[in-house]
Amino acid sequence: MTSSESQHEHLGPALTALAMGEPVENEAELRAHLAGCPSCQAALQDTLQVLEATDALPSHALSADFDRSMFAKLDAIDAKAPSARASAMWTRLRAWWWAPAIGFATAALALWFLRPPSTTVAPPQAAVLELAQDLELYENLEVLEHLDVLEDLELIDQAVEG
Amino acid sequence: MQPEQDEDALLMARFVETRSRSLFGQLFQRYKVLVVQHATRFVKNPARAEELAQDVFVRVYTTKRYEPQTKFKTWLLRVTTNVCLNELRRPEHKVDVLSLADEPAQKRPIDPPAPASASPQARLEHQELSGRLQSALMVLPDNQRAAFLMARQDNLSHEEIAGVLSTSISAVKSLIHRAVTALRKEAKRVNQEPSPQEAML
Repeated sequence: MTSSESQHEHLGPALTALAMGEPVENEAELRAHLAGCPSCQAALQDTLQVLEATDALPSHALSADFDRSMFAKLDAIDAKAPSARASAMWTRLRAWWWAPAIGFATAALALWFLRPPSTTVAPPQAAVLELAQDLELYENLEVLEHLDVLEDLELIDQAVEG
Repeated sequence: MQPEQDEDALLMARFVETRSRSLFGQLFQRYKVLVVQHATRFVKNPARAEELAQDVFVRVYTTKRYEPQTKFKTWLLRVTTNVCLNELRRPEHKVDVLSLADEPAQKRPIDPPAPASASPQARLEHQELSGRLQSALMVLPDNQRAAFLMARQDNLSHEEIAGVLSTSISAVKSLIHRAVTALRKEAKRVNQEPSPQEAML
């Protein structure tokens, strides 16, 4: 690089950014420098000339069958993976019914485990009757005991009278 | 614009969810020219560039997950860049690299038309300059050429270009400056050469 070229380059990327209309730090200072520096002014003009020339470069025109060949490739992909669309639909379906299904199953399980225990309730008279029968027995036993004593008393009386 | 506000990013997300050919078709029609144009910045052969562009769209079509971190355009150009760089790593592309000095005049691409209002002399000079600059562009390093043309032709910001090239914003500014500097040198060489009429005299 010659000394004049190095002089031109002392603004560096800032000069390029200025020429391309991009935001530049300290732009006011740069423009003030440009106003007083013929070398940088020439560099700026060279850059603008290059940008104008490259802007005029022709762009590539797509071939006539670009679209057709593109979609032929996509058709081949779809033909190799026919279940791809089906699995995508399944994924969409599964996504929306999965949550309610889990909720329903949870609720059913909760109801099953929280149900009250099943018992056959005996009518109240049966217990009382049973108890009453026990009591009758006890009373009979007592009477029987007393009968024994009574018999003994009778014997005593007979003995005394005899 | 945030990725979640990018209309095309939303369209792509809906396509991945629904696999709708119609949605893909919308994106394809909007971006096919840009993708082919970007591929030609890396691969000199236009037919091969179109094939690579179609490979890019096949990748888009078969994408199973899409979570936009950037605008769709930036993401698409990054995919295109990666596809093209993989192509350039193949051995057959190593011989295509030519230096400016070795580029013979016969291999120059077709000169673009000059402004109609210019004089014949000016039009000739303009065509000569554009043609030489087009050749100069093609021998630039790939990342310099891509950064410069994305800024100039695609109007991408430095941040977007950095996303496409997976580099920093300061690196993008440096790439663009180096590309412009190289093109300025070529333009100076053209301007210092005698014109055909002067050569005849």
